[in-house]
Amino acid sequence: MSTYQEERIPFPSPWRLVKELRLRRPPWWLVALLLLVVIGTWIPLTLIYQARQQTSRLPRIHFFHDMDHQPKFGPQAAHPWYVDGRSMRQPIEGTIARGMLEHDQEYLLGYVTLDGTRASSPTRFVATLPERLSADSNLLNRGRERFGIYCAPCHGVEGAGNGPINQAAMALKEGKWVAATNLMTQMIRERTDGQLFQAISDGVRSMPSYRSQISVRDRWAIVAFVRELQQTLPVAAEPQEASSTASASASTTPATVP
Amino acid sequence: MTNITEPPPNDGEAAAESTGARYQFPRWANYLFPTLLLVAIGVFTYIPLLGTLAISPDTRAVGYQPAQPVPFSHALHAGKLQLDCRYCHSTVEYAAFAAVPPTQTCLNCHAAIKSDSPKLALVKEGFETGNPLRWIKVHDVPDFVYFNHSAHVNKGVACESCHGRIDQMEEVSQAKSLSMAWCLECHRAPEQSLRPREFVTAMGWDAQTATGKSQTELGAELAQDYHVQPLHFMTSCSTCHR
Repeated sequence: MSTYQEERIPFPSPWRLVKELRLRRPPWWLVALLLLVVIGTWIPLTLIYQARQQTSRLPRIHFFHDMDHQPKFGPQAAHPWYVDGRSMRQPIEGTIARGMLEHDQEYLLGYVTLDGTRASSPTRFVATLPERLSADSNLLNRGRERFGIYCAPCHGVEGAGNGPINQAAMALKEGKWVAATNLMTQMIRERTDGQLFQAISDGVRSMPSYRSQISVRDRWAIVAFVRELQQTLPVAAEPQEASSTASASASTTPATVP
Repeated sequence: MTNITEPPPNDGEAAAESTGARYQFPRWANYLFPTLLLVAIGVFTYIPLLGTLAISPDTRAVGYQPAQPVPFSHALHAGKLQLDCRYCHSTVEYAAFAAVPPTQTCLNCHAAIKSDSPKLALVKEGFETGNPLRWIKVHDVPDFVYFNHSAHVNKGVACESCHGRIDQMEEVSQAKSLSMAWCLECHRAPEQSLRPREFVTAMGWDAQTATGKSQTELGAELAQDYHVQPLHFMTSCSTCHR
């Protein structure tokens, strides 16, 4: 029998193949089988699509683990040896890391005490920004930004005591919540810079201490920014009408000192 | 009749026809070869496609949402109440690790707000006993990848670029694949993801609406201002693996 090669006939086109094979209509079951297979291929694709759309509680699948684990404890990781389960150990109480000793009490605390420690009560609050800081635009911008992050949630972006957290707490009628102070009142304006700094550091009434969240320089920057706000914005009415609780306004008058 | 020799069933049929042998291949045998051809083409395209999609980190890693010990809602705190990310994750700007806040930070507000809620029981217990809450880490890159949050945030890479719309997540789930290819996408073209530093924590920020410049234009300017490293540094192995 002659072949295509011998007859030097080019390889048949698909159309010629179909013609010579006398392909008319494939049997129904073959078509059905093919269709079934094609539809079957959609199942895994649908599953993948679903997996991509949904969230999953199951741990992630990772094929190669060689880069995953270093014999180390990362930040805030758990440690099996310690009772509290922390791999990060706290500094021993009363110790100061090398090079971290600060003597400048006015800068650190915002007030001066007789024996120079935080434990005793202040004799004098710092009146203005410490000398090592200059109230330039850098400091004010930093203060604006930090105020926006840490203070505005309660005190509002303009210090009027109407931040979203304060509003939410008032709407919930929380009994323990003391309304955020309006920082534009004459009373707050008359406070010294040191008093404001000390309020941020140690907290006032229900306001917590922000010592751990805001660095010393940033706390001074916030004080500088609040002063700037007070200069540009009008004096607000005293808090008797602004805050709902009379006791809140009464307790603000004496300088709260630890 | 000339016939084709290649497909054996057909050849057999033809032979059977011409010699009048007892056994004849059924008519459908003609369709076996083209069908097999179709199936073969299908298999060779389908299997790689399926494999690629299945092992893609977009399938394996995105959407990971572990159950956390405390039902903390980012949608409420970062979304509705508009708390800045840095209020809680306060180390993000100067440390490699964006710290999960101590229970003290929760109690800044929750000492007074919803203080008796059973959802907060673990937080209060943790604060009183000093035992930390065991949050499950959602965004976790391999240990041999050195990722520094401060380096990114201070060069204008936004939180949402990697963490997605946290302000819309009731429970946090992994939004991006965090695969190496995904990291390199941005390292090769950082201008597509940069924004002014003061907006890094903003969610849903858009260069065009916020500044009137296209992202590429603004990104190129910012890359220059913030001294974003050149391509050869950004794609060097030891930039991330050390």
